[in-house]
This record gives sequence, C-alpha cells and structure tokens, in this order.
Amino acid sequence: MRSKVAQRIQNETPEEVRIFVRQYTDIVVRINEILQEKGYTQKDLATKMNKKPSEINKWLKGNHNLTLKTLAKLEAELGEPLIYTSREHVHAHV
Amino acid sequence: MNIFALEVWDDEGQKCTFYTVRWDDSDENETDRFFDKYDAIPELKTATQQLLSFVLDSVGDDYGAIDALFNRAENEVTGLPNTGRVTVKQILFAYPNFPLRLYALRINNRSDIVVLFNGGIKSAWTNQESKDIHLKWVEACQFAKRIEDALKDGEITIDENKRKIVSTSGDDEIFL
Repeated sequence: MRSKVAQRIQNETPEEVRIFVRQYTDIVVRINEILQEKGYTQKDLATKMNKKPSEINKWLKGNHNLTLKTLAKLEAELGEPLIYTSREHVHAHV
Repeated sequence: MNIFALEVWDDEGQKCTFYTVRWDDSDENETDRFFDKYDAIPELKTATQQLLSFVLDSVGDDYGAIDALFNRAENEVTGLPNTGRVTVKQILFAYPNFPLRLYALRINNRSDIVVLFNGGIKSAWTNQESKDIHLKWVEACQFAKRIEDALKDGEITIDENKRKIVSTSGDDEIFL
C-alpha cells in the first residue's frame, strides 16, 4: 500500500521533476562511489584542483543545478566518468 | 509521551519500506500532515514534489536508505533530503539550500526500513535555530527514541523476509 496523500502528490508531480531528482541522485551516488573507491577527501580534491578546501565546499554547495561544465570539471578531476550517454543510440538516429 | 501507532506509509518500493507514526487520537499520520501542508503552499509545491520523489523514487525504488543519501543523524533522527554536508571522507552536495526537512529514522541502520516523521522549513543551519522545525525535530527524536527502545526491549521486531516491523505480541497494529 501507499499513502493516499503520497499517491495524490506523486500523480500531480510533473514527470520532469521526477527525472531531475532521479538523475541528480544518481550523480551524487556516483560521485560518492568514486570518492570512496579512490579514498579521496575534500582536501585531496581541493589540492588536485589547486583550490582551498573552503572554495571547493562553497563551489559544490552553490551548485543546486549542476551544470554540464561543473560536471565536466568534476569528472576530469575524479578521473572517472560520471554520466554515460548512449552514443551508439544517438549515432543510430543520425 | 502519548500513545502513537507505527504504521506502513509505503511498501511498494523495490528497496525500502517506509513507516510513519500517527497519534492515537488523530486520523492523519505525521508524514501525510507534512506533505499535505507544504504541497498546499504554492512557493513550496515543487520542493515538496522533489522531496516526495527523493523518498519514493530514489530511496524507495532505486537505492534504499544508503549512507550517501542520508545526512548525518541529528540526535536520533536524520533530515531528508541530504544536503551539501561535508563528511570526513566524502563530499556530499545534493540539494544545498533545500528549504524543507523531513525527519527520518533508519531502523537499526538498515537500508530497507525507514520511519518517516514530520518536518518543516529549514531556515537556519541548526535545527535549534530553525524556529519552524525545532519542535518537529524534538518530537521526531522522541518518536524515534520510543521506537528504538521498543526494538531493544523486544516489543517489536524486524521480519527480515517481509521487510516489515512486527509486534511480538502478534497484534496486527503496533501501538507504542
């Protein structure tokens, strides 16, 4: 069973909101996995990016809507892909 | 503390069952109260929908109540969603400045059973300073402590196979 209130609000929720939340969570979980795998701390990341830890903290926290540019910077520093796109699928439609 | 019922709020997710609490003399549980209240405020409707999606889709269906999706506990409970808090080995930055907090308890730190309480608008860094939610946080901590005590005392137990909390007295309803 599901709460009737939850069901009603979910039914009224635009699909784009749910897609945003799921993708955002996927990215957060992915970044955490990479940081844990590599044993990185915020300080490590700051050193790699040649910035103060407080700047990284502020920078990360300031990005509610992560831009592609931010993600690219993070991906470059973490050395692992954060987002996968289906390039074959795109090419198949070109 | 007055008597309250511990009841299922959502058990349709693939990864996590959510419980809620309802005062014995109330028709509405605390989590429905929270979502009803903030869904009705136009400025907070989208945030309410995002938070519900985070609970049902991300935690309930996709990941369960894993560490990366939960802020550190503030006394007995955790505030959802996770918000830009930096921990020793991790950098978390989901939903910084998110206006709402919904209090939750992971049962025995499991990822598959969570109790949701009430919450409110987070207007300051700490719960004590956020006037709107301070009382809800205190209340959630009291609910959580009572539930944890009931688990320790064996008043209620976890049915591992059914991802469920059950009363050891065999009653269908759980009142604590």
